[in-house]
Amino acid sequence: MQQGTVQPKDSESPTQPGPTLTALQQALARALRDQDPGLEVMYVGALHVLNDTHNPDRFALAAHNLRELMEKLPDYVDVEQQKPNGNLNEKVKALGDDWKRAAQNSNCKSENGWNGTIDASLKKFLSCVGKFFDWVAESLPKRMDAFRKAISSFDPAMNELPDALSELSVTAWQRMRDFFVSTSHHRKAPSGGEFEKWRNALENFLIDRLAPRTFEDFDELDALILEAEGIHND
Amino acid sequence: MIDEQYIERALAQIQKRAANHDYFFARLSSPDWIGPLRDKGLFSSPPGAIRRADTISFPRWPESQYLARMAAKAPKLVTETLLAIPPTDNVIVHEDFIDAALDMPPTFAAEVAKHELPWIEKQTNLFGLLPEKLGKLTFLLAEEPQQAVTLRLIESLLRPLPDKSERDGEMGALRYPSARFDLWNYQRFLEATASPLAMKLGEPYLDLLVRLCSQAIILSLPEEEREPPEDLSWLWRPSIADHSQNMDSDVRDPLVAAVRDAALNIVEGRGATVSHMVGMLEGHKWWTFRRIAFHILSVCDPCPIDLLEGRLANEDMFRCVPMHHEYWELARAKLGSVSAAVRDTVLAWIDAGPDLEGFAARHKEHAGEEPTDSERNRYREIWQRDRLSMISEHLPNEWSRRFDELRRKYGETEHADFLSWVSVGSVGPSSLKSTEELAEMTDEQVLQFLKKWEPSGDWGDSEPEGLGRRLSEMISEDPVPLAEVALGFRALRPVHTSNLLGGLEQALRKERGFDWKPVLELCQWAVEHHDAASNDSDGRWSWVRRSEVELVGQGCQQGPGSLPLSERGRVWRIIESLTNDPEPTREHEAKYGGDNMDPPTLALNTIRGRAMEAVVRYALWVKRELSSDGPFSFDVVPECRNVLEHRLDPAVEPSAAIRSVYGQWFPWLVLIDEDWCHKHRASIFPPQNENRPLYEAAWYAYLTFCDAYDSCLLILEGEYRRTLDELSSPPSQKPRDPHECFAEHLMKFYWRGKLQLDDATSLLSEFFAKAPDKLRGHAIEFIGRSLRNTEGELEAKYQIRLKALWESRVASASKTPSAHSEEFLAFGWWFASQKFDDSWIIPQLVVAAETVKRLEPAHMVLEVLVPKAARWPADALRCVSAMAAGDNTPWGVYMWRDDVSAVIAAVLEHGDASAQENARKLVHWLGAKGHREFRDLLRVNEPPTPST
Repeated sequence: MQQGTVQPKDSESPTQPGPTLTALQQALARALRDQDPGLEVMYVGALHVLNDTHNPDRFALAAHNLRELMEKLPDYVDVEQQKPNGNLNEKVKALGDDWKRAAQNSNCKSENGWNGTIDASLKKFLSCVGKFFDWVAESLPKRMDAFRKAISSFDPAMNELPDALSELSVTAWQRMRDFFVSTSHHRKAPSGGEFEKWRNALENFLIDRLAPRTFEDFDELDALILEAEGIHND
Repeated sequence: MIDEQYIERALAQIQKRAANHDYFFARLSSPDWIGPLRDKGLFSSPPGAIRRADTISFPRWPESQYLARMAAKAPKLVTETLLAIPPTDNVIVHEDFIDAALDMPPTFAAEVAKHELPWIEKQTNLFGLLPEKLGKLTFLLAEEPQQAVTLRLIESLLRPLPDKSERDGEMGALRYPSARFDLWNYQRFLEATASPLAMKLGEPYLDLLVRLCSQAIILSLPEEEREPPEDLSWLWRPSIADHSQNMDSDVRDPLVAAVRDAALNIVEGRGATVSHMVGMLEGHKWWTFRRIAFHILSVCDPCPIDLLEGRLANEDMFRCVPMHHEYWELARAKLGSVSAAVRDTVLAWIDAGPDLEGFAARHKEHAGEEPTDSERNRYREIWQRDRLSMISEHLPNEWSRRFDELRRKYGETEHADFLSWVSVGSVGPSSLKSTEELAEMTDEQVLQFLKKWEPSGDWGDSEPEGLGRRLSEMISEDPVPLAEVALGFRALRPVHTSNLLGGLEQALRKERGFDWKPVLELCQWAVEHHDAASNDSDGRWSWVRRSEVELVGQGCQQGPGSLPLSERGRVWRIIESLTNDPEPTREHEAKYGGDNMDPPTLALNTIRGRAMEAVVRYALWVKRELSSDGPFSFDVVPECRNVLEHRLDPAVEPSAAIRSVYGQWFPWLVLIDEDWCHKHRASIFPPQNENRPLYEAAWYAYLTFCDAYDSCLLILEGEYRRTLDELSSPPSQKPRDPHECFAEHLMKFYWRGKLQLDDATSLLSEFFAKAPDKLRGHAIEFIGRSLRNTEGELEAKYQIRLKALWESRVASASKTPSAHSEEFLAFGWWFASQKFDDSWIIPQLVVAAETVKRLEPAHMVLEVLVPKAARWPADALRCVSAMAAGDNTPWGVYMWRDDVSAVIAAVLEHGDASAQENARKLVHWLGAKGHREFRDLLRVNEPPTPST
């Protein structure tokens, strides 16, 4: 499924040299391109902004791109995402109309606000509110569900990870997203080192899923087990 | 305990993907990980069974496999961890639990077993190695203080369940109790455990087996008949001892054997007395247990005499039907050990004879009349002979003489200890004479033998079919002698005539000739004197007519022994007569045609259908024989034309089976008279809706039976075009799909240059525009298979044409490739044929593979691709990568692993840096998919890991 693909535009004359991408960053850029060229644009764009040390707002701008990358990624992955069953605007508008009717007709509403035993008009409105939230819970796609599905879809194995492990990934994803959202909204002003730490975390997270180095991980696991069990046995 | 930092590092690795998680748990060798990993929730979510449509699968759980491996090292910790795991319906996980228990000391194993009991109680189908492993577990727990657990475990495992079939709801029907696992495993379980567990667990175990056996007996009886002691065990278990007469039909049999063996083991190995055991068994209410008690008395030695005498001198037992086998087994074994008085009592009862009044009542019920005195006497004496036969070793002299006298009078008895005896014999026609014996007889002797021979009608006696088969075999080897005396068969039963003609037809197939004249005279006599309505007592004149039409049809074929043209008149009279055979009638066609049999097959199995085929064969025979005498048409064989045209009238011949003969033989009709075919095309393939069944019969027979002849295309283009509009609704005719055959015809015409691509209105263009993807895929696959079957190089003109076809298909698919997946999939056949230059086909293959992520036949594609990988590394890798990505089965890549490895290795050796990097990515991706077998490919020349 590919929605809102952003095609890279022909580059114009560069105003300044671009960033030098590390091997991992180059690999990630390729892996994102394999999913969709638009994703590569978001990622490399973030690196370009970060590279512009004259730009005082570069962390917020780069964070915006990286957050966009994280939010759009599930849309590019070939998994079925839940579609909203109905239109949120229309539902809210209908609920607003119900509210106006209740405020107009209910005896509980007075100049002093809401008081008294729930009457028929208020009861009807509360029922509408209940239905609205039921609809929200059932019909609106949930962001974390989408991420969970996307992360799972990157794994080509026939069997699934246990929930305890996949939830660790989801949690890690959420924490990274929270950081980039806060930074892009200027609620957080990270240092260069802190931003680099989160960027690294995201890059490693993505490269592990999009271009796995499985047998290198196996080597690491072998070494880790040997060391842990060896030390313990000693 | 493993340090927290290692746990965190491990979690960071294994959360990346399932392959890492599997690998990690497979590599752990210390139980010290259990506690910290449990604290992280790793043992809290076993995967459940996966149910899809009609299938169910059970994923492995690396955590439980790890626990099973650690059970011997840390049984307490593993037990605590297992007991805390939430319930799961995954059988494989439970098998791991059982594996763990088997590796633990019994104290801990008992805890696991108790934990598993509720799950076992819910199962109705324990499969694989589980029954065997659970059997081992019961044995492991058979020592104190775990004996109570193992008894509960055995009870849970072996408790009989109701009959799983629909009989369970039927009034009065017998049931076959089932179990939690299949009968074979149930038997194995009890065979392996009954005796040793009896030795360890003693009478509580025997009591349990008796209880289980009683439950099985109750479940086997209709609800209204669950009244002891009658359990019908003498029917389903004729012998308590192991015997071929035992039916082994359900869990009752192994349970009876287990009770028997356990009881004997407890007597022999644990010192229980025979008296105690017999008393205990006889205390249970069903016949089964009393029979087991008698069996124990008959095999245990020594045995208390009073026990033996009490049972042998019991007239109720002597005459008891359910006890018959075991009473007489006991008498046979032990009558010599009891007192003479008891022996004489038994002999006196034999002397008194059977219940003759009961016999008379049964006789009257079955035969409708009282038995005569002679019949009564015969019944009594045979009854006495049978009983004496079972105690013949213990008879005093005067009784021995009496027994011998009865044997002389009535013969030896067999199986007198069984109330009924089931025997299995070979079933099939038998013959008094073998083929060799018949061959050694003179012609006259054969005729005389056949004339005198009468089947007795008895079961297993020589039958006409058996003799006929031998006769046909003999004639097919040497047809000349009996062909000469063929007219002599007029005096014989028709079955022999049928066999003679059948044998002669087989002789022709073996290229053995004979004198046709007497044979044709016999055939003519038969058709003139015995029409379809004539039948002898065997009803077999229709067989003669069928044999005639097959013989004459074969005689029209070219080859040694074919019909001489001088017999043309007689041959035609025979064929023409048979074209009027009523079979197939409307009723016959309604009953056997339709969904049961397609029209051509029905025609092949009816006399008129075969006769219409013989008409065409006859015309071709005459044409061949007159080949030097100028042009040929139906003018030369007007007799054929008359029959063919006559039966084209639906009012005369409404049979779809007969109409299918025209379609099936259309190319040969064109060969005989092309103008006639032009003229009658619309009659043969009638376009009117009301004649649709006739159209389909003829057209589908043509498509499915005939090759694509250019001469037919000229005549039938209209019919081909008509089919184009019907491609979206596939016909249901079997065994071959006419539309697939239609596609094959078009591909052949195109291949030969009879159809073009460039014209949008050509048959071929319209076919690809209108056919569904599946049918287009079939067309592409058909070309691929044909290419593969083509020997040598493919001529350049054909290469050009086929390449143009494929390129046009790729162009058509460019906008909606998913609507062409079957075509792309089938392109693998083209590649596997190796008829095209690599520079053209390899890029095409890449397009196909990357479009549908699959290629068929995958193994052939890879086989051809491997040697090309060194020269085409990047493309070969793209194909393999696409195929691996599209494989959604657990076995696909595994089956291709050698070829995939070879391609990757070639790319790593010969590819450029980019191709090599892609090869490494593929290896890692395959590893992530679970294929660890590719790991060694990276051991050599692995570049540095990308790093920050």
